Amino acid sequence: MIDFFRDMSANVFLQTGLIAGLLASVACGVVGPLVVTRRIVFLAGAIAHASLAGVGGSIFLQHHQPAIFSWFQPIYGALLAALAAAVIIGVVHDRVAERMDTLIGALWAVGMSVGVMLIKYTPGYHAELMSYLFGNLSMVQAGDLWFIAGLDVVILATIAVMYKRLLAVCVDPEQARLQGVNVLAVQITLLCLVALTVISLMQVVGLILVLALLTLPAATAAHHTTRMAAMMSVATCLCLLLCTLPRVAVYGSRLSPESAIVLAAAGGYLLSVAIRRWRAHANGLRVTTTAGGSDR
Amino acid sequence: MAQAKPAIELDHVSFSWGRQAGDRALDDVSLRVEQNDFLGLIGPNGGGKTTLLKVMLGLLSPQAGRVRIFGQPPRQASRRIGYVAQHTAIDPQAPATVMDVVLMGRLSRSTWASWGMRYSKADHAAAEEALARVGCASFARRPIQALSGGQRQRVLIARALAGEAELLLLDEPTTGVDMFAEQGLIGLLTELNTRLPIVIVSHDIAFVSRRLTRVACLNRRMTVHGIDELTDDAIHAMYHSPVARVHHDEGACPIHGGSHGGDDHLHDGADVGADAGAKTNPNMKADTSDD
Repeated sequence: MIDFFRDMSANVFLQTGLIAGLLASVACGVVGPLVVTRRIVFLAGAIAHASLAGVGGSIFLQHHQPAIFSWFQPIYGALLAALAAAVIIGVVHDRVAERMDTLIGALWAVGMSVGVMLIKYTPGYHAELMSYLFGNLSMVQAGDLWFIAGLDVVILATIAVMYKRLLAVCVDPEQARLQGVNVLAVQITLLCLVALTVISLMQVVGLILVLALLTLPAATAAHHTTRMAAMMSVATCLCLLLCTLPRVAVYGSRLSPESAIVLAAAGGYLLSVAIRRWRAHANGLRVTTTAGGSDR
Repeated sequence: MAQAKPAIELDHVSFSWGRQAGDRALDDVSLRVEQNDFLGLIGPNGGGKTTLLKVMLGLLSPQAGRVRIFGQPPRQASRRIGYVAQHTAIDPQAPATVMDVVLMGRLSRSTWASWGMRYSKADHAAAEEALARVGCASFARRPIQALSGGQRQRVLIARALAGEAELLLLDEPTTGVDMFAEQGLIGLLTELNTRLPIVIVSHDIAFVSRRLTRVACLNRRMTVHGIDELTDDAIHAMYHSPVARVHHDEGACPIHGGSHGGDDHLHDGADVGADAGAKTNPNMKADTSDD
């Protein structure tokens, strides 16, 4: 652990990686509670995985048309694909009540397949593909920090403007509709926020592990808070801790820091469940809501 | 205050989920709910109660007939209706306090009310007043998950009141509420009925009936009875005999009641209603299991 601080002053990659984690924590801390409360973890997973189509598209275009698409980084491709997936999923979820989960699951897989196929058609070995799937903090560059910070600003501004509508739709969508709130528009906005969060987290933990950071800190926060704003604050603090402490702890060992982050998030959640049970027991109450209830 | 337009006006409303006219959920339903009404809407499961509620709220458009709420089409009037869903409609794990839930009723009060982070002082004042009216003022800061079913139902009524509802529609408000809380709830509704027309949907009329002004029986077709005429026979016909027997009633009694308010009448109604409800309850259960 001491190695980490010693090396950090010399190694600029360690610094940018750490800052990227902190910036992404803000996005995932405020959006995660909405995802968990609205129970759209599955939709968030589909958005995250479908964004791989954009990564593949960008790698493909950059190789075949380098003159035109040299600016089109894989992360921009992923952003476009994630936003497109958010809108499609929002509309499908609203219009097709029957077999909705089947369709979303299919979109999840189709997005990934398109991405993999496009990468296959691009000659060369693509080491960076792994970094999009599983994250690679040492590959984060200074320019990416501005990009992630920009995503944070958009997410926070949108939530500040839409807060009451988002809360209403998360708590009681039917009533929100009767109050004249356009529930579909709010839902698609929320899914687009998820898309932005997925992109900001992509380089910290990778697409595959995004779900863990989007849900576990929020679910942990839910155990100890009773209002959305408080849940967002606690989840953000948890994300900030989770994106820094595990990395510092495993530095220098053979363990992957990205996996350490996710395992720490899961450990924190289990610990929180245990604390809640113990507290309820101490108060002589029965725990009626089950531990896994928040993703029922 | 006094409005000439009836709160709810249904003219020969028909609705079917499928294309065939045979599987109509609502068949030629007509109903008028006046300003001082306290109407019970009863009927077996699958009889169209929820469908009719959604038609009144403008969530479903009927294939035939006309719906007017205070003289307006339901979509335009939906903000004037305080719809009180079953308390189970709210996610019990929602990260919201009682106040947060009641404030939701203020979303449509003005153009800007639904934007931004905070509700205005006027919204908070209205929410607090509504909570006081349902006797839940002391719960304002409690998490919604900490309330019992009966308390939660009161909070949902407060939300409708906070939204300055001019008509209350309640869907099975006594589901999962114990008998003691249920009686408190009916007392509250009776008190609110001095200012608002109320429609209460239930398949258990035993408790409600003594306070109702009229009862509408819905099993695809509708018959409306004054509370004093709700006899054992009528309910039995509703739940057990072929629909034809209800048609027969309908011809004889279009829509009546609402004019009587004497104590004697109410007392009669109470006896008949409670009696009939008690007798039919086991039958209703048997009926639903057949479906």
